[in-house]
Amino acid sequence: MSAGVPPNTAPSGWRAGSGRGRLLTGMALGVAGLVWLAPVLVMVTASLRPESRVLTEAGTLRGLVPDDPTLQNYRDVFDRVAFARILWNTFVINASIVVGGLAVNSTAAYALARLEWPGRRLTLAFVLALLVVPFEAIAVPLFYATTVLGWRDTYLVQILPFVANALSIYIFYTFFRGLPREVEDAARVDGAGPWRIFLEVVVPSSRTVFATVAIVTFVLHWGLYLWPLLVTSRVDVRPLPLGIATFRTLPPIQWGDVMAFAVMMVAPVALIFTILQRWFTRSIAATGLKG
Amino acid sequence: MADIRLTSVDKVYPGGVHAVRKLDLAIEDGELVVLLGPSGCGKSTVLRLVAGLESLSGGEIHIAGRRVDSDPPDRRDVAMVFQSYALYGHMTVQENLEFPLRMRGVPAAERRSRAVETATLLELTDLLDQRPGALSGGQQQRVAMGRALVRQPAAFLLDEPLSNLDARLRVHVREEIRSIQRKLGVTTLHVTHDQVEALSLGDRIAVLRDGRLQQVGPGQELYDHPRNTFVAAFLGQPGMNLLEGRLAPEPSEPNGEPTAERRSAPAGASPPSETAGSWRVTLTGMEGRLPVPAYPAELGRSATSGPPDSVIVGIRPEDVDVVGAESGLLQGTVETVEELGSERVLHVELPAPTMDATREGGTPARTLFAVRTPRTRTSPGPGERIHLHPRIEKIRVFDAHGTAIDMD
Amino acid sequence: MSTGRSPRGADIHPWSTSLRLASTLAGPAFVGLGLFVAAPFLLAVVLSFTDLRLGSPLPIEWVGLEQYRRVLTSPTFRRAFFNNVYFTAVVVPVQTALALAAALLLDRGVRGTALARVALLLPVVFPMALIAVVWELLYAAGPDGPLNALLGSLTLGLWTPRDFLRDPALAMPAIMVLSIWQGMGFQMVILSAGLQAIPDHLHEAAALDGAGPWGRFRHVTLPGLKRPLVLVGVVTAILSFRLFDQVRILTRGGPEERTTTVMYEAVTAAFDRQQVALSAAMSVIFFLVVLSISLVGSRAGDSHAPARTAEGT
Repeated sequence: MSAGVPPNTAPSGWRAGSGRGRLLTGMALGVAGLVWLAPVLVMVTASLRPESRVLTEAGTLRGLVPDDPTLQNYRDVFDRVAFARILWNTFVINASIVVGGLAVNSTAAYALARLEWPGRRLTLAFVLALLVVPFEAIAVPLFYATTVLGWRDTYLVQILPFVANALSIYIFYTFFRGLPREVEDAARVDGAGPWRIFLEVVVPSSRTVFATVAIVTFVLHWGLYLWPLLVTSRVDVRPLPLGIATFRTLPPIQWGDVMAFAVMMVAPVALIFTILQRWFTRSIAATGLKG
Repeated sequence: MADIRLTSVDKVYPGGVHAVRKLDLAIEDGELVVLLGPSGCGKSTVLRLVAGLESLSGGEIHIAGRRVDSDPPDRRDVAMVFQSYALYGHMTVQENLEFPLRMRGVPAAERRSRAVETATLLELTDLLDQRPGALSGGQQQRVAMGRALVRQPAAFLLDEPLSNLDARLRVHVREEIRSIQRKLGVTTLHVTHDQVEALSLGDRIAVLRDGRLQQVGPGQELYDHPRNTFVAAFLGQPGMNLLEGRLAPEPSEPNGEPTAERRSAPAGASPPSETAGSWRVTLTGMEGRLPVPAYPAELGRSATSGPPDSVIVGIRPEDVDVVGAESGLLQGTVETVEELGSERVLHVELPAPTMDATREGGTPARTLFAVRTPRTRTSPGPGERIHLHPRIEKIRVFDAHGTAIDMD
Repeated sequence: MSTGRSPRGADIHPWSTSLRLASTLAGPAFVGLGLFVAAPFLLAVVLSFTDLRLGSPLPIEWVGLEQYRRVLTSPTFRRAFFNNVYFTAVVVPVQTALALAAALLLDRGVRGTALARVALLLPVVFPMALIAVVWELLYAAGPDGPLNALLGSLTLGLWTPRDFLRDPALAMPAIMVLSIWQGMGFQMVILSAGLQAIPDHLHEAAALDGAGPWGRFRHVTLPGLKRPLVLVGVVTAILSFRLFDQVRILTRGGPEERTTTVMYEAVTAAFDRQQVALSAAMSVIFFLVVLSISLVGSRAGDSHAPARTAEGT
């Protein structure tokens, strides 16, 4: 899927260009791609190298090809921290944010897009206004409130603030507004109530936007560092980004172990991303162009 | 099976648009009524009001004798076919057909058999496992029909169901709708802007303009006896020619156009014209006068004493003959000739403007006088000056506001 | 609003007039947004006028604008603000230029485009914490540090190894480089989509009119990209002002306050020093900066497409 050139980038008209120009373009892309991949390669090769040789060889060309690779660093990670637990925490927190977000934000957007009720316009304005409030602006008071309420070190405190999301509502809203209304009218005449229309007609015809919101929500949240830093102090609820940041400072500092942690942390996402690259691209573009 | 009654129905949209005004309309049990009108006349709104997709601003709607205007759509027992077909894109044809039954809690086995039954009726059996996206426009249209039929509803509502089909298919599907409707005898309200569709389908046609009902009746009656200039001009291709003039009694002593008088005599020899004296219209901007066939007695009484009445004369393009100079009542210059295969339409410029009653407000741009003629080798070409003789008995007369006054 | 002439879009389902249904559908999200976005925001404003310290036994007092005065006169905060501006002033243009170049290269559709796109886009899905840790290794001091070693071999030994993250002159640029590495792909995707949206016939028409590659770029491509360019500029500027993770992990604001930022100061004030009120004042200032960037950006964007605001309401 990711190997072939997506059809929308097929050369046409002016884009075809001359043979020499295309060769130069290809070379430039190759160099850019390698430069961009280099830190990732260093991360991977360093994770496979005995600790004593990590630093001495990481910056050399020869170092990019790991001779005598070892998985010792990976074993060390599991010995030194509860990696599986941290991974599980990340999974639980982000799955909850994504699934909960899809449910809550899509229904809200549907109510805003298709129902007429007193306060609809006001609510819509409220949601649009919240689009400009970055999380960082409210992190401190939220931190204060949760501390006062003694609500630290739980999954919920890491999930709930991110479930309802103005951007997701906005993406759903614009999509629902664009759906042909007659199909929903047909369902009403056919005898479906509002919930059935939403679940059986609207949701199935909105699979693309649900995928987009899911992807965007995940990408925006799984790397969160500031909030868990503020509200967690125990490793059994901490997610991966905070995990790697603390693991790095865990003495003795072992670069090979840290890189092994990094690889294990990012490999699943990178793999999924590579496979679903076109979906990711489309989601980011769709969000970006609208937002 | 049931009748539908609309009483004094009003619809004002939140934005202030008055879409339907004081509409009274009854569709009898098993009848097919076509709502006809230009786009934006409110005909689709009427359908949506009957379906329950819009709420009434005033009036009442009864279906099968039961007042339904505060019922949600699912409690009205009507089925609707939409212009865009509005099929459920993620469901197969079978699932589309079963959907309305499933929503009503029909058991799975019965759903299946009824869906298959409906599919057989509409020749959709081969497509049951397809999704709408894989079907042609005509097939999608049949699925939409099927989804409405499968429920065996009290009434059918069809919202421009043919407008997305190409011309050839449209004729075919039209016949099909007609025969299915006859076979099932289901009360049907059909909305269209296409008069051919309306004339060929409807037991009766209701013409709507700006949310107001203009006339309702069998198609032929509307065509022959339009109640106003809008209906006159809207029906027919091209519509009725409308000329302004003044109506006055014929002076007791015949003068002027003896030939015309004699020609019109056999067909238009209705008793009133003989007993009450002849009436003629002096067309604005033209010489000569046009005899008109009949007139209501009360008009004659008031007009004899007063000044001549301002009227509008309507002449169908097919009710005009191209004649020699000696017998012509109207003369003008052919501007364009429209070939229709078996016949031609001449667009003739007369000395006086022809009205366009279908246009909205204000005085319309110049319209040409249309004449349908058989295609003969000698029929006139552009630029030619010709003489015309309308068939007097077919002339319609409207008052200055456009209301027909020649109806009895 | 709606496409048709009829005002059909205005009238809605009769059952939908019930507020109950709407509140069931929209309620959870509305409560969530109120509780976790609107309320904390208001709390920040309220707290910024007090002298609240976390865990302090003293009663809270209203101090008016005192916290704002303290923040705005603090040399550290000024330094932090300057650092943010410096970071934004470099990252926005450089990152946008790189993204535009990458998008143009990808748009030609040569073989290997898909692979190159994956490589350039990969860092976008990486958490910043992970990126910071990986780059910390790359930036390692001494001749064995990967970047030092690379620069050494590229300059045939002329390069003197530096300690990038502890060098006052290099710490901020080092942070900028890894931030650009992470963020470029996002802009690239949006600009790519923008390029795809420019109809081919415009290029063909320009070519027929005798425009060369540069002329077509200037008169067709750039004008066509105006909206996406404004958008990525604004988004990147806002993200730049939110700079925190990499600083916290790599430099903790140092050396010599060269890498501290508004967010870093706000968080350390509340989290490390319990000065919640002071931190709240910084948060409010931070919000006002972000808001003004959005407003300037949306004005620039909307002058091009005024329909957008109308559609929203």
